[in-house]
Amino acid sequence: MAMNETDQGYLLPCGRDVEAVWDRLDEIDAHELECPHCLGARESLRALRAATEEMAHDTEEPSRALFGRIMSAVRAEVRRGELLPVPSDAAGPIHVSGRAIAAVLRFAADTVPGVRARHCQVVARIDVIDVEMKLAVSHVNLTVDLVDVVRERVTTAAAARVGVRVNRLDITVEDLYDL
Amino acid sequence: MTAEHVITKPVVAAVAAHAASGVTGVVRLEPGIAGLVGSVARAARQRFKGLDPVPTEGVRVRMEDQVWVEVDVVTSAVDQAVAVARAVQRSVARAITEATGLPVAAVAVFILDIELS
Amino acid sequence: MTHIEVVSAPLDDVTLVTRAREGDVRAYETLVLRYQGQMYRFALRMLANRSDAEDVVQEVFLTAWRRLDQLQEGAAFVAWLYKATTNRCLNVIRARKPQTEVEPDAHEATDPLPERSAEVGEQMAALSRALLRLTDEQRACWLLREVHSRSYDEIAQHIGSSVTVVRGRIARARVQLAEVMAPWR
Repeated sequence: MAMNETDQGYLLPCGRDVEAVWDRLDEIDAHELECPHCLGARESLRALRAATEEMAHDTEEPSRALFGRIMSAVRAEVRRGELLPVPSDAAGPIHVSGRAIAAVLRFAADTVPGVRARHCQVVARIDVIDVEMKLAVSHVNLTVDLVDVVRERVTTAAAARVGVRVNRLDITVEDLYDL
Repeated sequence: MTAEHVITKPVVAAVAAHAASGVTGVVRLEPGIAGLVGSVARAARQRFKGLDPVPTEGVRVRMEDQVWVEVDVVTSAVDQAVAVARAVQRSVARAITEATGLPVAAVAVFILDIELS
Repeated sequence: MTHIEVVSAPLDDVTLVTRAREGDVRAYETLVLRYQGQMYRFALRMLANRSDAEDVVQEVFLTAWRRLDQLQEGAAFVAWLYKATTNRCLNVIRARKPQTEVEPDAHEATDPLPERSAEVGEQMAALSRALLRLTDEQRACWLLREVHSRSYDEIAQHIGSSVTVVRGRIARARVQLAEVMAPWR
């Protein structure tokens, strides 16, 4: 494809810009019908486009081992975070990972339709915990009662799944995840 | 009087680990002290100075005229975490006393993770 | 305990990133599975070597894990991935021994699917080879635009340049690729 590189781009000998030909590959005008340069360029660009679409739809995946290597490295660097004391007796102290509690509470919040818990922080206050949680909600499910339902599920899960009482529970709806 | 222990610390740790692993709701013991952080945890562990870690078992033991034990576990969300911890305390204390004849002063349980499924 | 089966649509990136940032490893697994294929294919076409491409992807996702704190609120995780993958690929290429052309390994097109015609498989293979004859920056810009559908603004950020420069590189790449593809009509 003979052409000249100029400040304006790449020009075919007939003066047409290659990018312009590319942009209009599915239409054709009077000049292009007659012009061997344009016709040649269009054929080449069509072939390129077809091959490009092939490549864009290619689904070659990396080896399964790659995922394993990535996650091994990630897990090796997990920071445990705080261990929170929970009420215990003379048998000995009991501590639970704050992150583990947060995951349980998120899970409980997620059981409410249209709710996705995001930020969740748990702080130990002697015999109880304070929780701060932020939610993303589906606009379909957003109602006045929704936070109350989440509140109930979270409080129940804290007692039933972990064995701690929630003192303070701050829940904020911070985002609509489907809009 | 220095106590002479017929049963060594690693054995006691193994007894503790075995007892803890068998408790319903314990998924596994966590190998090693996987980065216990936080001043609260550190303060709790002040009471257990001189413990020998058994890194591969997630158990730490101190023995004098009594036995002090720390256990790191992962529990299942199906069972209440604190209830599982209490069961671990009972089970470990009973197993160690049976094995050594020594009273168990305390079993400290650290739940490092709760498996949700 | 009554088990509640929660069947829901895949979690959005922002939710996953927030949770991963707070220590939720499973959330991060989902992100890796979601994007490792894209990053791998991009790196593979940049580097023409499967092992190198996997190494790049591994590093990118490990670094992303470490830097989750620094990801600005609302900044797209995937944009960060593309930027990191682009940079790393360019660094890998520059660190290789100077060559007039990047030598591909036995990276031909994967076994064509039964429905695919042999000719189509060869077309993509020809394109892969033609790509290696571009400059690294041209190849990166062209791949990001034409194969990975990134916007000009996004590409300018990934590559650390201006939209004007990006447009110029893609136009030049297109011309060169079309010339090579011409025999494959």
